[in-house]
Amino acid sequence: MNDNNEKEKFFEKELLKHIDALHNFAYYLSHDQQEADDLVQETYFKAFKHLDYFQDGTNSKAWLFKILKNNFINEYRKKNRGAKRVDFEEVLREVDNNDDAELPENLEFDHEVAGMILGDEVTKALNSLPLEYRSLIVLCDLEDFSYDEIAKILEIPVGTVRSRLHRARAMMKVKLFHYAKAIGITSKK
Amino acid sequence: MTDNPNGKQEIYQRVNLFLDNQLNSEEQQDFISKIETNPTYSQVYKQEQVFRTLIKEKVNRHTVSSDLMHIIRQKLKD
Repeated sequence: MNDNNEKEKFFEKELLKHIDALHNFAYYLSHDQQEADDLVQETYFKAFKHLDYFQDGTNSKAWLFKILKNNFINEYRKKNRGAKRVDFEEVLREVDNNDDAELPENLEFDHEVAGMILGDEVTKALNSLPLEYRSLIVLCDLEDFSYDEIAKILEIPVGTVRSRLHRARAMMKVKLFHYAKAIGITSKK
Repeated sequence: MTDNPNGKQEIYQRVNLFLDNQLNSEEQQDFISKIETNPTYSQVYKQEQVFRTLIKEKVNRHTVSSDLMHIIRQKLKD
């Protein structure tokens, strides 16, 4: 893709259409509107600059998400200069060392219970998850990426995607059940 | 199988793989017949579907500000 005009057309048609999804991911990584805006801008600038590296026929959305994730990690490191190197894996290890690692599997979610849970509480439950788990819920359950695509975006093995996703959902369920119980929502079953 | 906690865990894993579209066609067929014949499979499947829908429909989505796309286009032209 040497022609600038061709690059601009591709950029408009294939990349800019993912801006809302990308911004949503950026927000759930950073929890900051301005930072999310900056991450999205930087991602698009890098994508345009390196458009020649994009392989035709591959998933442009996944490519953008990977660039954004790398930008996020780079920004995090810059802000924490002097601190030890931190990445997704390190955050996860800290979480996995927690004592409350055992989570129940079989919490029942029926239509009745789900219908009474407010959107803000679901969002709050997602926001309360550690970064690595939060990002998996966004990538899989909101953006419908496959395990393979998520593994490439986050640069982790597919098996790890599967196990963390399983755990992320279990953690969300526990948080939502605590909320439901606190406000007296119970299944009639 | 339903009284065995390991069995139930296995069902949860299978249901999640099915909902995440991670089973091959043969495994999908096998899973579908299990839903039709095994009440535990069917129950777990319905519950997980409800949970997925809850996340999909109720999590707030943060969209871009109206200026951001304009800024990106403008900066790329500069």
